[in-house]
Order: sequence, then structure tokens, then C-alpha cells
Amino acid sequence: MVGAFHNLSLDAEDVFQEGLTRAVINVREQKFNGTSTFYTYLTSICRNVCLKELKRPVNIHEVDNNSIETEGSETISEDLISCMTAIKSKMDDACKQIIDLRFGLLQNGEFKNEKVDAFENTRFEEIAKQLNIEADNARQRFRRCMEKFKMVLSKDPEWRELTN
Amino acid sequence: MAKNSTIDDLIEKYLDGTISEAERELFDQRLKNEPVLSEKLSQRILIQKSWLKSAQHNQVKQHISRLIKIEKQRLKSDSRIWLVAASLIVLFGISSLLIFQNSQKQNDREFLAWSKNPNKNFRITQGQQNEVKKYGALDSTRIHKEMADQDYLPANGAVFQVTDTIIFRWPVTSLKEKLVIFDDNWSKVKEVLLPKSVMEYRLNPSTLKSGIYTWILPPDKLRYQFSIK
Repeated sequence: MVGAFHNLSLDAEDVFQEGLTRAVINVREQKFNGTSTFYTYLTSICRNVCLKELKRPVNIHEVDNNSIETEGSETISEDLISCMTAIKSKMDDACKQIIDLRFGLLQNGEFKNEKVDAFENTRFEEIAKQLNIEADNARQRFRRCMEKFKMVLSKDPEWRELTN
Repeated sequence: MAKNSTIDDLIEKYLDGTISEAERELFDQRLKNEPVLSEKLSQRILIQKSWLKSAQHNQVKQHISRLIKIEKQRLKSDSRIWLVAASLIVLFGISSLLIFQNSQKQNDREFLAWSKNPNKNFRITQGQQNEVKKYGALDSTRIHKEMADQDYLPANGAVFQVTDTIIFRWPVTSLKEKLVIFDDNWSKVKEVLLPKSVMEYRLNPSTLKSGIYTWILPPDKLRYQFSIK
């Protein structure tokens, strides 16, 4: 399938890995209700990954409709995640760490609890303890990092397009 | 900027749950009336949700990548085992083929030799050939294995021509010191000392007269007979 997409910068293994990751997350979040085989589902996700990579002006939902399986492919959300991942990778580690902690992740970047959607913010006092700094310092560091991050987001055309 | 920071701080306090009851009521009120505040809160929540989703995505991807790596290593080691097995099979096959071909050539050579000189005394049968090779000249050796006691050669009652070679053999475990041969009058005609390492003794029958002989391996008391025509 990957060979059919000319000028694709990803190789088959990258596409498979990315597709499988999205499929696993969708299954976990019960977006895949089993009306088609998992193989078909995975294939359609991988096709979307290829199309996205090529940045073709194709309506991805139309492609999904053509490929039997349409369930649970929240492509916009996935695009937002991809965009976020790309912007995050440009941030410095100290900022990433404080935002991770504030957003309820552990110091190693893992989740505190299994439910990812659980919306919780770790208090600055707790963050300060973990980083061995003052709570006010943690608050200020977070504020500074968030301002910087929001600035980058607001300048990113893809993010702007996806969030407007 | 300062106003923005105040709003951001307020939002963080609101999300923390550290806001007082009075402040919360006021905040809820402002959310209804101030679209900027509402938008900022929505943006903050969207950032957090997409941040967490991105983290989850990375985590799953790393896990899958690890599994793929393990699977690749497993497949690699499996294929290596198969490669070794296949190499051994091929090696075994080639060596068997070479041995078989060599043996066939030997047969052909012997047949050719016999066909050139059929009067010569070839008494070898195909099945015995390999065994006979162990004992020396092909045209003068006879192996007698028809007796039950096959550990001792020649077997009891074996008959030899003067052109044959008599091969005396015994089990490794036998307590032999010497080989003694008696004629039919029970006179000693041959006595050979046998060191431990000696496993066989060859005798040319032409050194003996025609008749029946008995051979023993003292202190072993077993007796075997052979005759020379």
C-alpha cells in the first residue's frame, strides 16, 4: 500500500507503526466498535497516515467512506495531536517537564492514572515538592512556559487552522 | 500583559480547585459575560487535552516500537537457527553424496578389475564388501559370521583355503594373554603372546598343514575350531 503512494517520505514500517498506534488508542477509547475487521480498520488508518503525510487536498473523511470503515477515525483530533507533538518537540526540556507535571503526568512523562481523559491539574505545591523548589517558583515557571508555548501555538498555521 | 497574567493565574487557580467559593461564583459570572475569559479557558483546556493525548500517543508508539524491535530480534534469531539447521542439512547431504559416489566408484573399479580378469579368485559379494575392506586383501579374506558367537573370529567350524588369510579377533573385554593353536592331535602348533592393545592377529594358512585346528585364548577357556583344506 505504501508503495502506491509516490514521493512519500515515510517508509512502510513508519506508516505501520503510526497506524497501529492510532488504532490501539482508538480501541482503548472504544472508538472501534467492530463493524469491520481490525485489519480493514488498520488499513484505512494507515492510508490516512499516508495521505496526511503527502498533504494532498483530499477530504480524509471521504476516503474513509470509500474504505468500508469510518468508525472512530477522528482525523481532526489526530491531526491536532500530531501538530501538538510536533510543536512540543521544539520546546526545551525544563518547560516540557513543568507542563507535564502540571497537566498530571509523572516526572518520567508517564500517566499518574490509567484514565488519560481524567482532567486534573497537579497543584503547584506538589510540583514544587517534586522539583525541590518553592511553589511560587513552580507557578512562575509554568506561567512563563505556557506563555511561550501559547505564542508558538498561535504562530503555527496548522494549529490555527485546526483550532479555528 | 499584566492583565493577561492575572487572567491566566485566575484560570490556573480555578482549574486547581484552590479558588474560594466566593471567587468561583464571581468567576462563573465573568465566564458568562466575558467571551475573552471563556475563550482563554477553552484554549487552556484544549491545550491540556491535546498535550495529554500527544503524551499518550508517544507512549503507545514507544511501546509498539519496543514490541516491533523485540519481534524483529526474535525473527532474526529464529531465521539464524533455521539457517544453521539448513546449512547442516546441506553439509550432511553433500557429504553423504560424496561418500556414496566414492563407494560406487570403488564398486565400479572392482567390477572392472574382475571383468578384465574373471579367472582370478574374487569371492566377495556386494553386501560384504565394506566389512571385508577392514580385514585386508579383498581376494583372500573370508569372514565367518554365521555362528551365534560373533564376537570371536574365526567362528567355530570355519573352513579356510591356503590362499585365505585367517583373522583372529576377540571381544575387548576378554581376558586373553596369548593365542594358542592346537592340531587335531592336540599338539601345540602355534603360540602368540598378545599384549593388551592387540585386537586381532592374522595368520597365513599356508604355514599350517591341512586339517582341523583348535584355538584358545588362555586364561579364557573357550575353544573354537577351524579347518584348512
